[in-house]
Amino acid sequence: MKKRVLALLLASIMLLSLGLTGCSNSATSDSAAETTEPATETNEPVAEPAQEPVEISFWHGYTPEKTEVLDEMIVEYEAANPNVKIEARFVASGEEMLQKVQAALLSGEEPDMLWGYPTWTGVLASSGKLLNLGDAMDPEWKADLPEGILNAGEFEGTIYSVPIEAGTLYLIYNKDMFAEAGIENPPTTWDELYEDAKMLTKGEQYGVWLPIEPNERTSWTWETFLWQNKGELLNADGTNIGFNTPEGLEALEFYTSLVKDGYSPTAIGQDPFVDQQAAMIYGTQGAAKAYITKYEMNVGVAMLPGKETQATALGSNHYFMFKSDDAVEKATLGFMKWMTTGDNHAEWAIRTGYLPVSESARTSERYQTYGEENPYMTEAAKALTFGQARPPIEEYPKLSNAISSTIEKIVYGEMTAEEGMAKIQKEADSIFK
Amino acid sequence: MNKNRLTPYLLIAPTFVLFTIFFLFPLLYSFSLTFVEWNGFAIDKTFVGFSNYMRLFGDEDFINALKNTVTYALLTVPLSVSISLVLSYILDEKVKGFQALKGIFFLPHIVSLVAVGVVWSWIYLPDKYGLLNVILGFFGVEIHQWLHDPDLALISLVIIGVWKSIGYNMVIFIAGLVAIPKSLYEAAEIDGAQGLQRFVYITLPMLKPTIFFVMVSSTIYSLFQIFDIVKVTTDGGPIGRTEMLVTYLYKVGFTNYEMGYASAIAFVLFAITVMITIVQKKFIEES
Repeated sequence: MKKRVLALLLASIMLLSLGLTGCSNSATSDSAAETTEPATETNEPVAEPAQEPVEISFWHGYTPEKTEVLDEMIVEYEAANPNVKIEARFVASGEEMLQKVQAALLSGEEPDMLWGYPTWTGVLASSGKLLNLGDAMDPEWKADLPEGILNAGEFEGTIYSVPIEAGTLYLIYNKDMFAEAGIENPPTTWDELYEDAKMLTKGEQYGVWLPIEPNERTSWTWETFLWQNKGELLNADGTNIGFNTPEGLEALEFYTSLVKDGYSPTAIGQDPFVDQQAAMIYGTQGAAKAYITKYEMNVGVAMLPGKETQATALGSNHYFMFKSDDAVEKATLGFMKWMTTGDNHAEWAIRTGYLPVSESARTSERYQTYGEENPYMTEAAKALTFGQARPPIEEYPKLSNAISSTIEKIVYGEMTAEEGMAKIQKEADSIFK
Repeated sequence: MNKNRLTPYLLIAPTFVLFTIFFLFPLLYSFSLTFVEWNGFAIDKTFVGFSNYMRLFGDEDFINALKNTVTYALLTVPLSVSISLVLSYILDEKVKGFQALKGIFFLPHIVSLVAVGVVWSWIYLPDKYGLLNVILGFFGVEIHQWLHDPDLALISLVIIGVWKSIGYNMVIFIAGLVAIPKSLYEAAEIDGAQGLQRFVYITLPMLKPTIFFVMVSSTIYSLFQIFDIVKVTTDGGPIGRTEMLVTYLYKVGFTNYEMGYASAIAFVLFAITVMITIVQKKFIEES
């Protein structure tokens, strides 16, 4: 009997403790809600600045070096704005961030501010929790940002994000390998690219590296060829793909032929450019900076070779904001503006190696002198003017997947370029239904 | 009396509450997702009936993933089981340094799958960049690519899978071997049985239940839990040759954001697992 009583007691204690931990969680979240709610209400009658600093949670995916720069800048901002506290946190890099955000959105734990890619706009907007930043930004700020990059974050007529960094693909080439092959200037047309790649290929060394793995990098690189051939990713009203055309097919054929003819490797080591496995790569100014400063290679940069026109892919990282109470939204907006404009933005761009987005930063004295000292940055800025952005539609991730996996199949001889185009069209029909 | 009846329920209550919250509820929720179209972000889910299940039949990528998964299991399980059986039989014969060897063979099992994947993807790097190619080149064998060769990629994964699972299987086999009465071997020796004969006529029959257990558990493991290594090394490539059911469902769910369809794939996987488990139970009960 005694034993049974003891067992009962133990069991009830365990149950109770379970219940208690559950309660304690809800209790803290309740009190949190209580403290934030009156804060917004009392904002109007009491004109005094809030005693408690406004806390902003900020999720980003920067590398440790960039995070260091960011943290320093946040300290600077907080010193100038003592009523704001920014909790910046590395959460995940690249596309994995979106998965974290998805889980956070479902449990209502999303951050106030999010760093990410504009291609996420469609899916993020469908949550209904994304703030309409186009309306929140003042006209002066908006005018400071190039329309093309700002519109990369537009979805169904609404701008949901502010660009913070830009990058473009341009041609990075190994000057030593070029000299060895007797080539003086980097290629400027597709024909020259093909010829140069051929001349630079020998043994385990390849002329150029065009990615073929089924991921966004492959699609992104290929899209530059499509645009150079005056093709369009989507049709005029955005209801299906627009590149099932002779131009699109030509781009697909040319891209895959460079690999199939053996001038671009199908498998790469850690980094094909550092390993001197490829003499040319399609990379960003960030990569060029690393090759020049970190690996001390003899590197040249140039615009991507063109065909019908000059074109390159424009990549930008953006800040998103999730709906919150007024005080937090206002504070977040203030920090975003501080980061994306003027001298602060110039400092951010210089120290991280990104291209600055706002006019006020690019024309700032600080950036001008920096550009003179680092010509490869000026070349990237020039490429920016030919940049085309990927459409921030909900369907883009699936479309990108269809393109890159088809490129891989063509390269491995599973299908011809024509069959590949038919396959992309078939998949696009179901994606854009 | 009444109190007595309540006691067991109270005792299992803590576990049951956890089970309900963290297992039963997610399971039912995931099942409900198989009937909707949802990107995981949107507020509204669209009810689509059984169309997610119907889609499976026409989905070439799904069939490809199923085929790869089964091929992988058919290659890995017999190889791993036979190698570990032979190794543990040899080790059981009191080889010098027996304990140390056992430790060495068991080591891969306790290393995290992601770490294993990263290390092997370096070993398998193409051309002169990979360790394996350098070693093979020393012997005059020239293979340029492993994980990037459509014909070798799956084999490369099988090698990792076998290497990884041998240690665990060996531990179970050694335990089974120890349980075989030594008197049987002594009797066989008197009757004039040689080494191989002893293995075939005594060890194998006596070890049947153990072999069966190892086969079933490694089948289930290689069919349904092969994820980390593929994700880290090939991510399903090249041209989908190493795409497994689990990696495919992950891609559908978290790259294409089709939660409904991904859940449907998960439930098909679940159904297959349940079927195999039932068969396994039947066999064990009979033997």
